Amino acid sequence: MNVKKIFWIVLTIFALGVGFSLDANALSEPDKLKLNQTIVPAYGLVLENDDCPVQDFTTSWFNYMQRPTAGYYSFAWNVSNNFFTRYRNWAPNQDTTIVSHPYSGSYPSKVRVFSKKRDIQDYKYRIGIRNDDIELALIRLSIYNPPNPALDYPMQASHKLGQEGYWRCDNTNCSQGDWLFDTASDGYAVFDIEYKKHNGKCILNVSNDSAVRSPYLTAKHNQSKINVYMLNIDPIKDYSTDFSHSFTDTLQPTSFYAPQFTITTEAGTREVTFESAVDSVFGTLGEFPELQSGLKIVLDVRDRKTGKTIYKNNVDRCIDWLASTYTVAGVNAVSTYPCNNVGLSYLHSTAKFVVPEEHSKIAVKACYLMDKDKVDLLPPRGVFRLGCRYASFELDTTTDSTTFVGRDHNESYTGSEYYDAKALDEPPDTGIFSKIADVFMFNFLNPFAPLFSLFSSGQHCVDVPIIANMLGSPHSRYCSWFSSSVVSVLTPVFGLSGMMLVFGFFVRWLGGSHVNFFWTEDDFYNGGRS
Amino acid sequence: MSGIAQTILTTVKVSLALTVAGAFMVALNALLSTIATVVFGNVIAEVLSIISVCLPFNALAVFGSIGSAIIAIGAFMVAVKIYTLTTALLKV
Repeated sequence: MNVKKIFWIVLTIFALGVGFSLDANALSEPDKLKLNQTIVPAYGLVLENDDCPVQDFTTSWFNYMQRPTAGYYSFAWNVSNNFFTRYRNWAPNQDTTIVSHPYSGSYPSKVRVFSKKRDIQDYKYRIGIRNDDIELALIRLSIYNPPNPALDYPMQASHKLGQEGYWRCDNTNCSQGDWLFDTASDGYAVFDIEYKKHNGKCILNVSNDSAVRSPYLTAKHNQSKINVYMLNIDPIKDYSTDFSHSFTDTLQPTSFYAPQFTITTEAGTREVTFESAVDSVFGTLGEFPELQSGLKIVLDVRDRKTGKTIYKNNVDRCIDWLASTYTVAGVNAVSTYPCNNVGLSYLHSTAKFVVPEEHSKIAVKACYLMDKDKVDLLPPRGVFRLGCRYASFELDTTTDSTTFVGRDHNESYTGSEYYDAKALDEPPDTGIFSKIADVFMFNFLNPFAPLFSLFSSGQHCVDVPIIANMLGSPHSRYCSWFSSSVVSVLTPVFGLSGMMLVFGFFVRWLGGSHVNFFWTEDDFYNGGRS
Repeated sequence: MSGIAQTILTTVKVSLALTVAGAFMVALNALLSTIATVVFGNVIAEVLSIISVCLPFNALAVFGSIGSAIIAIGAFMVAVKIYTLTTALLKV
């Protein structure tokens, strides 16, 4: 056989094999939810109002801590020395010449201007601030103007962190220690911040005014229109380095929340009811009404054998959030906010669909999704992740129940767990036809996309649900044995080397040099130049 | 044929060859991906992902770049063929 023919056959086979892998990931997930890949915006303390420019009070590091039993999110970050050398004046027995109240003061805002402008109105966090000198302040910023006035209540006793929630930090570590400030009756020192123009100068005013917090804050918020921004600077890293010894009982960065749900059938029918209520930990989102309005459950029901879709809802609407029954002080109450459970600690959703007769076993996948525009309000990415839950059921139309037949497990997202509410107007994917249509779409960068991917950081962990399902593995997420830094160096090295090798063969072939794949004995004596 | 006309003609030929070759490259890329998707689903990508987590490099990216190189060579050959054909036609 002609050597050239062999070369072409090998080349074709190899090209086909490689081609199969090209973009297979992107193209082979027709039902993948359209997720916006925007990373969670950075968190920090940034203030602005109508009179004063945006000011960034964030500096070098940021830390996130959550105590699951508390239900409140706590943030700690280091702020500029300019700010906190003055902050020391808050402490008793310190120089308080510039403050009129032992726990309040006005400070010039000598900080850099932050470029991004966002509008977050509802905000309730506990914030720990560490001074690089000595002092520690744990304050709870409370800029608080919820849409539901009934929410404007002092912190509930059940939400108390307890004394162990107070931490004192110095230059090197944080430990349980004395509380520097007078605490409110609920066990917290509550400080209010106000950023406004005073005598022609924009100042940040911090005060301890917990006694009259609710009306005062609401009024103040309306007047000064303070916007608070959180800037997230790699919280996981800081979590592990700065506070790991102090917060062993916090949620791990790998934790995620997937919908808990039940599937029931109506006796004698094939109507299935999906019902889900958030778990108790996730229910702490009840303290963050805006989060709830951006939270969706996306349901994907398929035939367990064929994978054919039976029911699927879009993320542009919630699945008929129930007029939820929840308990307040032992009394059942009903939400009047369907699809926007403002003020509830527990979300409750339901969906009904009919399973055609040709299907008996169904696979149900339910995912939490969060509007990406609401992610500013979320705790940092990586600590508080959203995910999906899979389960399979067999319908029993004779009774009003179903039988659980498959695996029931959680999966966290590999990409972003947020959806883009603005992108929902795009036409739906029409399946294989749209993919074929993509063949005729020209984009100059497309052919070179694999080349660029050599220099991307890549994924440290991968999801392999199909293979896991084939092998019956309980785990479908695997992480690399090698650090991402090693992978990011070796990938372009091997990729470019491989490309050069291919081009080398080609150039040599063009130059008339035959590639001899079948060396004979003579070739060993003449260097393959037969 | 004058020098200017020759230049224009050559430019048109080169442009045509580049355009067709580029389109060929894109179409081949997408076609192969589509075939792979239809035939194998997402299994290949998952296999490569598994390989990637066992190797100190991203197998998907490396094999993808090698595949791009091969497809680029094919596109180059198509371009050369077009150029040659158009030259031969014009000579006729």
